[in-house]
Amino acid sequence: MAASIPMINTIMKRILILGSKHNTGQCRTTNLTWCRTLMQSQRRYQEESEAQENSEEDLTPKRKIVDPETSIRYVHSPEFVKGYGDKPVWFHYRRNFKGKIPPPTRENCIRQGEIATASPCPICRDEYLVLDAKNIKLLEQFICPHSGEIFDSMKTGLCQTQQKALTVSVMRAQDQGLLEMKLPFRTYDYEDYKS
Amino acid sequence: MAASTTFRCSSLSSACRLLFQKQTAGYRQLRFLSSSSQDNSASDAVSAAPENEERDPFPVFVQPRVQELLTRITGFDLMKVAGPQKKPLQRPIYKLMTDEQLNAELSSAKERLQHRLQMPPYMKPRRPHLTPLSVDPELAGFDKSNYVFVDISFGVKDRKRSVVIREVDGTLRVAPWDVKERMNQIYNPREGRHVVKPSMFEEANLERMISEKRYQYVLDRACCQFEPDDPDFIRTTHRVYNAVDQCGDYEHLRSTRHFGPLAFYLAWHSSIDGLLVDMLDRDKAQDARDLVVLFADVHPDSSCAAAISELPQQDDDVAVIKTYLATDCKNKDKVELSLRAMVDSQRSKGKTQNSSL
Repeated sequence: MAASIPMINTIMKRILILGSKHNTGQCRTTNLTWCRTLMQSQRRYQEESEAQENSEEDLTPKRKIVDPETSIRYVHSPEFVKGYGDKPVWFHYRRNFKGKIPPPTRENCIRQGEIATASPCPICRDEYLVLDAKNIKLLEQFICPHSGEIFDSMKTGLCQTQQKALTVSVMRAQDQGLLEMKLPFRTYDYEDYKS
Repeated sequence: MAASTTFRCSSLSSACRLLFQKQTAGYRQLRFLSSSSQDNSASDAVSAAPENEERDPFPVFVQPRVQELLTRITGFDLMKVAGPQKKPLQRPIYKLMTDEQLNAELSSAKERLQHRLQMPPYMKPRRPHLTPLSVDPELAGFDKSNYVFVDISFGVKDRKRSVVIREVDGTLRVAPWDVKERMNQIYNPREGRHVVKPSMFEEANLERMISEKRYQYVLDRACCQFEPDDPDFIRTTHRVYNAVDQCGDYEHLRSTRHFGPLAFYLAWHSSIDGLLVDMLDRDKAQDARDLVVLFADVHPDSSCAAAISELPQQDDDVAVIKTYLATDCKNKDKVELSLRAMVDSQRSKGKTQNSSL
């Protein structure tokens, strides 16, 4: 019994962090200073009163759609630093799974335009993070500075949909020269060019 | 011109219809034909080109003396040649060595690294093949799309590989360069080269990268993507060389494989003054002398070359630079000022050394 009490506490904390209804931007737990409430959009199975509110105003989308330009401004803003500190956006994310062996990450966090899970991946939980070829500062957080490879989704916790989007946008950025890629060394045989 | 556009329209369907031909007797004949037609087309295009571009820089570039000068002025900064690079993580290897073994290892590593400074060839842009190999009107309308024939026999180098096109109107011609490169990439893929040209080399992106001073990356990637006589390669590299010359960022390219071609480009276009001033400001008298000698080698008819060959002692750095100053220099005041400053600093250094002794 004694061991289960701290566990319940941590679960309660998680619920408090992720499921706070009033998104005022402040964290309720005191020991996690890095954290702020990241999600602002509706979740599935939210409380009835809120769901009704939403049904009255049908025109508002369930999840806010942010364009890449806004996302780039956000990533460079002091708000971003306040939310994540100097760590990558995936650094403090913890996956929620049963047992010892982590399974592959889920297919997607957003279904039918709304967040469908209790612990959405680091990109899905913050709607102002948009993976785009021009969003270099965000993309660099997912690339190993030593080997230049994209981090595995098992390390970062990205859902498969976002991992694919990440790969595509990194390749686009490399194509446009925004991100540098590793180039092989080309050796020339001068004899080929004589004649 | 019209023929090449028809090919592009039907390039997809023709790619599906690639025919592989190995060395049959008929194909040998074809190869013979293609080589003869290249000569014809080259002579046709010469008349269209302006006179000052007629001189081919490549034979001058590969002269052993010029190569030696270029290698010498490139320099060898170990941190720049073999600095930290991105590569897959691996465990470090620890070895216990004596001093002798360590020195041997270091010198062998240096030898290996010299290879990394191999310069990309400096060439003039290649010319399109214009003359068809054969015109067979009786074959006209044999199909709705062009056929591409590629020689995939073993051991043929990319540049020697013959690629020909049978067009819908029955004309047989040597494939345009872009088709040839695409076929090469399909049959003999080279790492780092993409079938579609990266949008990095488009004007807007190139402009941005140059303003960010990422010269080395642009040049490295151009080497991977293009052949050295590709007009795109020449446009990109010249663009970068111009930017480096204007901003005076020669230090970015020193100790890289691109410094030699940069110096050669400047010498070829008779605008070495900026680089010369930079070398003098950095107290590299030997390099400055080599650059002037390179200029004289590239332009053997110039008054500077004649004056240098008449010099009594050719090893004197300052004398050679002064000869250049007196003859072909365009920005005399600046170069003279830097030269005087360098001579003064050398003299004061010599004095302090003497006094300390």
